[in-house]
Amino acid sequence: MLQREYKTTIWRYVRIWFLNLRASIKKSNTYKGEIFVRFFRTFFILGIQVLLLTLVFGNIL
Amino acid sequence: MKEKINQKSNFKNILKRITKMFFAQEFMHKEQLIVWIIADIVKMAGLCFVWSASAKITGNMDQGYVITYYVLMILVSKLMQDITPANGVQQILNGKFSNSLLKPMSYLTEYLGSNLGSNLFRLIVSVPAFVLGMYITSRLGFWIVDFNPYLIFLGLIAVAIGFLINFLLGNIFALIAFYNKNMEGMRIFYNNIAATFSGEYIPFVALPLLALFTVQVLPFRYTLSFPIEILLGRMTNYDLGVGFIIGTIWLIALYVLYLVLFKISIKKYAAEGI
Repeated sequence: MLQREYKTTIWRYVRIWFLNLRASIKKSNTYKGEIFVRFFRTFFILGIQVLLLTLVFGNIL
Repeated sequence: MKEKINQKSNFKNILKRITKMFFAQEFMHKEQLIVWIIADIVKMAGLCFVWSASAKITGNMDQGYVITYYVLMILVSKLMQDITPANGVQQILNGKFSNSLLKPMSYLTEYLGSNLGSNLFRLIVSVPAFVLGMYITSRLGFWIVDFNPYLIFLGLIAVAIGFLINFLLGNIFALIAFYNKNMEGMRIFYNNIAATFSGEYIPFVALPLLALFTVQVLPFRYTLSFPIEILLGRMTNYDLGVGFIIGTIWLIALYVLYLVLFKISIKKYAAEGI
């Protein structure tokens, strides 16, 4: 059987990129707990950094 | 009665053998471990410089107290480490946890032995850095500990309570792996919380009153800061008593919580990795 040939223009790669993006967004639903924790962690780290700087250099707010 | 004594000596023997085994295992990867310990010491030295500079600028704390606090941390932190949030979680996720369930002993005995073995090795490797830190701070006139035997005794009890609290916290955290199959972010978050509230990043002497009250009530203080505060010798008898009471209450509460949560969570175990 002959192999099917694909056009290797830039649009093919754009299409693959979008397919990958869609698949990873779908996958992120599976790990929503993990994503929420990572999102929440950024605020926690920000809070700690503000506290740390306040304690080291005095009141910065 | 006789059976109980046999069980007790069995537990001791098994724990001793596992501790020896993990000590030998850590020795096999000693190069990697030494690099980890150097990284730890660099982190502590960095924190020591930041807080001693802060003490000098703001004048809110005694410079000697902060510097001695971080030098003592080099040694005490090695005794308190728990590898369950990394290894235990991994075992549940890859299905190897099934092996632990089939063994004729609780998997906690195995984890306890592995922690004791690796902590013992880390402690021995850290001693030269501690002695060097102590020598330098003494020469500079910042060392404030006078090695009072009574305080050392209390410090060792606090270390034992703190290690067990840390061990139970780690094992309770590991139970989340029965429900959630991607634990990397959660583990990092747990480590951040533990490091912040245990006094690793911020010595409690620098905290305002409200924050100090909060960290004194949480269990994380007893996993690192409390034994160091005892060894520093600046605590009143009242503070010591309250500290030990809160630590013991946490130890009992966490053990009960672990038993209840394990009973519920184990039903969700599917050993996917096998």
